[in-house]
Amino acid sequence: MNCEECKEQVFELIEREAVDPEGVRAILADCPDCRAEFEAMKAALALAGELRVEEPPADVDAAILELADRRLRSAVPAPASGAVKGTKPVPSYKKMTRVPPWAMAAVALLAVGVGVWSIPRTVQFESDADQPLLEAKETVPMAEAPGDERFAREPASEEAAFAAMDDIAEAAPVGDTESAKSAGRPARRRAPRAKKRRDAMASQAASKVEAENRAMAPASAPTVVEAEGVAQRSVAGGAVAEDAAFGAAERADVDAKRDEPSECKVKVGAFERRLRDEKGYAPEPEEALAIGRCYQRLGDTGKARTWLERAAADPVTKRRARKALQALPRK
Amino acid sequence: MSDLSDEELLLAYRDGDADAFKLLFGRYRGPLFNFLLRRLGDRGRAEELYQDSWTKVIERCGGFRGDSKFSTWLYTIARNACIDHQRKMKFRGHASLDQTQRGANLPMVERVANPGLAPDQLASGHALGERIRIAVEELPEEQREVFLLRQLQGLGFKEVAEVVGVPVNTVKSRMRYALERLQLGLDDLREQATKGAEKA
Repeated sequence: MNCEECKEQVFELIEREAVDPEGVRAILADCPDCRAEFEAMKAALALAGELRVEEPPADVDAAILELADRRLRSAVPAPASGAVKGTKPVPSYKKMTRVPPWAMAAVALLAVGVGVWSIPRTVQFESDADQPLLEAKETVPMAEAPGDERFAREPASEEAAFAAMDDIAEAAPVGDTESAKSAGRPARRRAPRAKKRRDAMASQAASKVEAENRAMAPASAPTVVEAEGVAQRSVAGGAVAEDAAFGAAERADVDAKRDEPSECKVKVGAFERRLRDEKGYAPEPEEALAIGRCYQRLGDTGKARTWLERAAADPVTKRRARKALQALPRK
Repeated sequence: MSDLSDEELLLAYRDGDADAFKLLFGRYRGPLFNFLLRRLGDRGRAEELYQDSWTKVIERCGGFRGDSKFSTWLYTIARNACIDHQRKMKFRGHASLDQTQRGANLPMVERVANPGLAPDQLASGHALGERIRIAVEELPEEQREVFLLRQLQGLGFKEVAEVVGVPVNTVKSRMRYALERLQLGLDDLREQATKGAEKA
């Protein structure tokens, strides 16, 4: 230890907190400068001890003791600081701010959580445990869907484009954000509104088709193919006809769900005649779906399963067909 | 009851024993008042904050958990009261000429440059005490509060560190600087004391 270190330790030595008291004492014994420093420090402390002690005023002491007694006498908590000399009571909003911050944070978090949870979720997506992600993604690209001319062509209007994209979004599994993004919009949010819009479009087109059907061929209820044909005839080609066809197909699909058994019988009869008469006739997926549903309605589970499975093989009708298949009694 | 610790007395008061508070109050009334007086250098303010500090002790004794010593808690309350008061004073603009200032009991208008004390005055105990008081009040604030808590209140370095809210080593450094300053300021007194001792 050198003199510098010793001087640093002098104070600690006096306070009995020196790291190396023996070392400091050894230096103090040899070095007069360090010794003088030590004496000076001791003298300063001794002088500080001479600082006069003053008494607090007796009336203030009495007021404090009175307040302490009053607190014990009353069940009411003691008044706020400075109450001896008269102060205002603490306002309630100040008391509220005394709530611990963690508690306020927890309440806020709970409120946000409940708010988010209570947002209505109208679209219930199927659980696609048996539907691989890759398969679902394959349904996404509009122009790549094979054999589906509706998607191969450019939509005529914005509404038609939305309807097409909504179908894709609906076909995508829950959480398949990739496909939702590629469709341009998030699937969850758009689906309910889009479905309504598509239903409205379908019903408009269907009513148009129905009117024309009545005028042109009122003898029998139109099948999906007939509806498509009528729609295509009614509007001179192009995308508008496509919209109408799509709407009619959708409408027919919806109708098939609601068809009375008697109507279903008519449809099935016409379909079976056509199947018998036209060699090489293969129904479109939408038609297969509609017929499958009719068979289902009529209780012919075997045929219903056959046509629904055929419809399920097509990516466009897959989801709806699967849903219908699920409703069938198990083999 | 007098052999009970401060913390036990406070708990007894909380449970309804008025005598426990009197005893506790008796132990700390002088040290607390002197701490405030030396820290603020203004008797009126010291009285006000002294009362406020005790009022807070009475109000908050229900929440005293006993994690720290009563003395640490009491001086923390008092120190915070001082800081709040000084913060308020900062925004009050300039002091009045009639207001007494730190280190002087006379109004500012009556104050003149300190001519120092005559030797005969120094000989008296009162003058010595006054000189030391001025020397202490001239210490920088952070050194002064550490000096007061350690030297006058007898708190350990660890307790002082808890009250002031700095590490123990910082407290020790501040204490050493405070003593060095006092040593310089009171050098003449020390020489006189040494000469007196030699003559004797």
